[in-house]
Amino acid sequence: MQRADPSGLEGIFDAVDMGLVVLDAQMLVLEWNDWMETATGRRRAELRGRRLEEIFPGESNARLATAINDALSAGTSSILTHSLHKAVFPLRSRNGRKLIHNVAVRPLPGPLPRCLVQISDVTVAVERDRMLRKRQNARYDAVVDSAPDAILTLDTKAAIVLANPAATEEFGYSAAELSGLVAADLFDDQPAWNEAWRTLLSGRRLTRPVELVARTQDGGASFVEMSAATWRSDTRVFVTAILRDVNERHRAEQALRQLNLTLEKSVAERTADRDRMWRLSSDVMLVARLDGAINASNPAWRALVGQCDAVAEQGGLGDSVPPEEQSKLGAILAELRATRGHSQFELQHRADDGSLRRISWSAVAADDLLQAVGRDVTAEREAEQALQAAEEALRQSQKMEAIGQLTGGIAHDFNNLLTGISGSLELLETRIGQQRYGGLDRYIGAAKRSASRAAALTHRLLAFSRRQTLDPKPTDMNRLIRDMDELVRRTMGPTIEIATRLEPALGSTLVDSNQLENALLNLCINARDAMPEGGRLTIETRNILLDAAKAREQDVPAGEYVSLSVQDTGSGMPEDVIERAFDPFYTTKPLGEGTGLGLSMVYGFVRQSGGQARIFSQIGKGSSVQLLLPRHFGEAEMSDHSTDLGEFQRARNSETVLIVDDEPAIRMLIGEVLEELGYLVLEAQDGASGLKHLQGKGRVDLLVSDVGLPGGINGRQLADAALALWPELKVLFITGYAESSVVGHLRPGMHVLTKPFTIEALAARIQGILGEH
Amino acid sequence: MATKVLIVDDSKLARMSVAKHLSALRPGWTRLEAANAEEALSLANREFPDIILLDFNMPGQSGLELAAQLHETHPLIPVAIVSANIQVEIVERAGQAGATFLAKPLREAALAAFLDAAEARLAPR
Amino acid sequence: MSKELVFTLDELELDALTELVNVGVSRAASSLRTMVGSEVLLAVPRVEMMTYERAAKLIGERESGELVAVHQSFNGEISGGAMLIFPEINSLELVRAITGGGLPLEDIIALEQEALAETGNIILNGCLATIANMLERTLNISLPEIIHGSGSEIFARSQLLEADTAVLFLYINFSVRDRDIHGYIAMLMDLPSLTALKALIGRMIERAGGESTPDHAAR
Repeated sequence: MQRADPSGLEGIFDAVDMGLVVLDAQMLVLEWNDWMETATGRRRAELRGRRLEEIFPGESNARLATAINDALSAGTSSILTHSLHKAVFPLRSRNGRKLIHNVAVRPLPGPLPRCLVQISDVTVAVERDRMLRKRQNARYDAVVDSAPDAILTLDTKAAIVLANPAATEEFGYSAAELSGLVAADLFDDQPAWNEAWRTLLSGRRLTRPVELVARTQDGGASFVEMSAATWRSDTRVFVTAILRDVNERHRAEQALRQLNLTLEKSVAERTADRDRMWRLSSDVMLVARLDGAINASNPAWRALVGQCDAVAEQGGLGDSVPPEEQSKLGAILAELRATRGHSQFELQHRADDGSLRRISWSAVAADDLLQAVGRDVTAEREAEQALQAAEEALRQSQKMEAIGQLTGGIAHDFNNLLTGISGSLELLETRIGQQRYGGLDRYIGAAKRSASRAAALTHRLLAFSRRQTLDPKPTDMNRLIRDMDELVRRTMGPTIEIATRLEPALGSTLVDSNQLENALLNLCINARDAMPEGGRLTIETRNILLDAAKAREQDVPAGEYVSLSVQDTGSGMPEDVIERAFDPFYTTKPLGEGTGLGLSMVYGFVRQSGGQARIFSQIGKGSSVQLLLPRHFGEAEMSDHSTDLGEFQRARNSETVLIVDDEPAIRMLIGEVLEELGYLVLEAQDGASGLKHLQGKGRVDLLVSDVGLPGGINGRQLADAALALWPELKVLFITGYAESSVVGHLRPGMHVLTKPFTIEALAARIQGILGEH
Repeated sequence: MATKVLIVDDSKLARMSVAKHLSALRPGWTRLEAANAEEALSLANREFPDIILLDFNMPGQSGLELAAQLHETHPLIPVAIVSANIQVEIVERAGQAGATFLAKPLREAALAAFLDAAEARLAPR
Repeated sequence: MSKELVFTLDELELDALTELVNVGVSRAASSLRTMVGSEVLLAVPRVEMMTYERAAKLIGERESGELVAVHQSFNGEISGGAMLIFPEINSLELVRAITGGGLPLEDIIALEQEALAETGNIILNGCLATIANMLERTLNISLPEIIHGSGSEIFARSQLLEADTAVLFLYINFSVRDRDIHGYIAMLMDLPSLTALKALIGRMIERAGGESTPDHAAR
């Protein structure tokens, strides 16, 4: 074929080092250059006008066909690279080696559509690259391929891009199956894998191998230990993981663990119990050397002495013991060292909060070591001491209260007696001043009597304070009782009726009369307290003869006795109370009321006097205390306590004053004063008789009344009743106590005067009141 | 009654193109159009088309899925799947769905051949 | 600051273009299939016209890492550049999918550039050739070239940077060997090219049957 070649470029077509083929619009070969002839072994002459599929039968490449077609019809340029096509054409080098080539298909400009196919030989470059890579990776490849451990290379999506032979064995998948698989799917424990993966992707290292359970292709589990690292190629990041088969190790570990488990379990249980006791006990526990240095201590000890573990371990038992007990501790330790036995002792220790705690220790020395257990008894000891102190205090206060009660009553008595004395003297003075010398002895006598009664009271007081000394004298009890009448009445108060049943021919008894008075007073007070709502008190005396048997019962010698009994109508006492009634401090009264001393003192005195005291009681009926005293055959001392008080009544043509008071001396006193003043005086000794006066014909202008009256009507009640009869009646209450509660609310026309008062005061008051209309 | 053909393709142009070929080949026939599988199914149930032409590449339910569904509900209707993606697998799957595979862009000759065959199947009516 | 395109395709024209591209990538898929050895599905769900700045921004928003693009330029009645763009991570995966996975990793990395170039070449040619055929025109299309970089860098490398450059922006989805790989196709054209394209598409629509109305139309 002739070709015109004005430019001389045609030579280039055959000179170039690449294959050139020109195709026409029908895809038939137009030109075939020298290079192609050499590479294919086909001459251009036989190929012109033929299709490629014909020239290379069985090697049809759809891509090539499309490329050529598109180039001719649409003008596209295409490449076919060796990366995707093993061999587009069958090409060989001069020495017969296969040529690795790339193909480019381009449209050729010109009047007729033509297509150029370029074939480039890239064998050398490809081989060189492979060689380079091979050498670079030779060692790596050798290692990786021959490694017994599975090696996987993963991309950033954890898809496997590389798996060595060991990996295929480990997992049971072929390399092709593994390629592209997401590695996480190969492992059971996703969390462990995920965490490791996160660490690797963040650029950090895995600090230690990760244990994973791999799932093989046949579904079995395999224990592997993974170490992995991240590396870069250009801009791409990869992770290579080496997975070591640790199934053997795992099995061994399991077996060992199982064995240990059973063994440890039993040991642990026992140890746990002991540990628990050591840890949880509130008692302190120590193990110490025999010189007191602590080897071990339980938490309770450390909490007590407030030491941290380190200090506690190094300390000694004596560190917390105050100086005053150090020698005691020393002695204890010495004894333990010597005897190597058991010891119990108490020690004080300075606790963490600074307080001193008393620990009761139980220690044993054995094996050159001291084992000690201690209990904090501080609270117990303190409680004991507190109890003792409380008892002391109670005794003290009870004593004070007893004194208080007695002094109250006594002061009241003194009050009255003083009133009697001073009143009498005043009247005396008045009479003498008036030169009325008749009847003066009456006033003198009254004063003397009051004085001597005061003296007696003083004696009684003195005797009380000097309780221990008894001054027995032959005494007529009846007389004593009668003499005490006033006192008793006053003590009992207006709500209690007093009856006496005195044996007329009572024998005398050798007894300290003061003490006997005390005793009687005590019994009366008790009786009164047993009848808060009021009742009846009976004092009885009798002669009693005790035969041997009865005497033995009473624990007294047989013989004749005089009996003094005080009976009340109170609530009575049950058995157990009766039993303990004579015990010191025993009282059934609420705290603060009553002393509890009384009966024991009575008992003591009676026994001292050779007699006996007994209690009889019935619940709901009352109680009776009987004192038995040996009868004395001799003269009884007489004391003259006769009182003789009369009543004065004068009818005068002036205001009438009604005086109501159970105390005769008071009535007399006030009466005298009033008469001096020119008033008419009426007297009554209790509310009932006072009322009778008021109900009588005579007019009453002023009622002067004591508040406390016997017989059921007190002064206030009398006043109210009187006012009902005499609305214009004036009332003056006189009282020794601040009996405001009994007086109540003072209505207009009511007045109060407290004892003791002077005659002047009384007179002034009365005149003031009566002058009010 | 005129033969009804249902044309299903999300591209209006493609529908137009097929319609044009259809009117050239079978001018008397009725043409129905749907833009997606949903519309196609509802139309098929209402209008009872005789022949259906489907695009393979549609959003949502693909032409292949639609073909399979139609094969179940209207097994007697000849269905053709039209696609430029000529692959062995696709052709096979079209066949399994009871559909004929036609290459895109649709050549009139290819369409004519399909219509002839379809008519023959429908002939007894 | 990106401004909106003064010139754009209407709905029917975009629909037509979408259909063209779909046909084009379907052809490419069937081409790839022979190389891959198993089913390849390619789909282009949507086509949009936008400025290249917006296109670059869109890609930048969706892809945080580096990108790799296969670029081919074309000229004739319409001129411009076409790019197949992937996130770099996907590119290796794509190559592995196409080469079949039998190759060792180093080989894949070494061949990656070439394999990627050819794959891109197949897909882009599929689109461009189809467009050329349908529009009944020939284009002069270059051989493929690989570009690495960010969205804006990739667009900048394409020679057309005129203010009025329009971008035909497509999402493309691969389905190969049970892997789904997504990427983008961007075709850059200047204003005259766009005008010409519009006219060509219009004529295509006419030819395709603009005059016949169906008896029952779809929405």
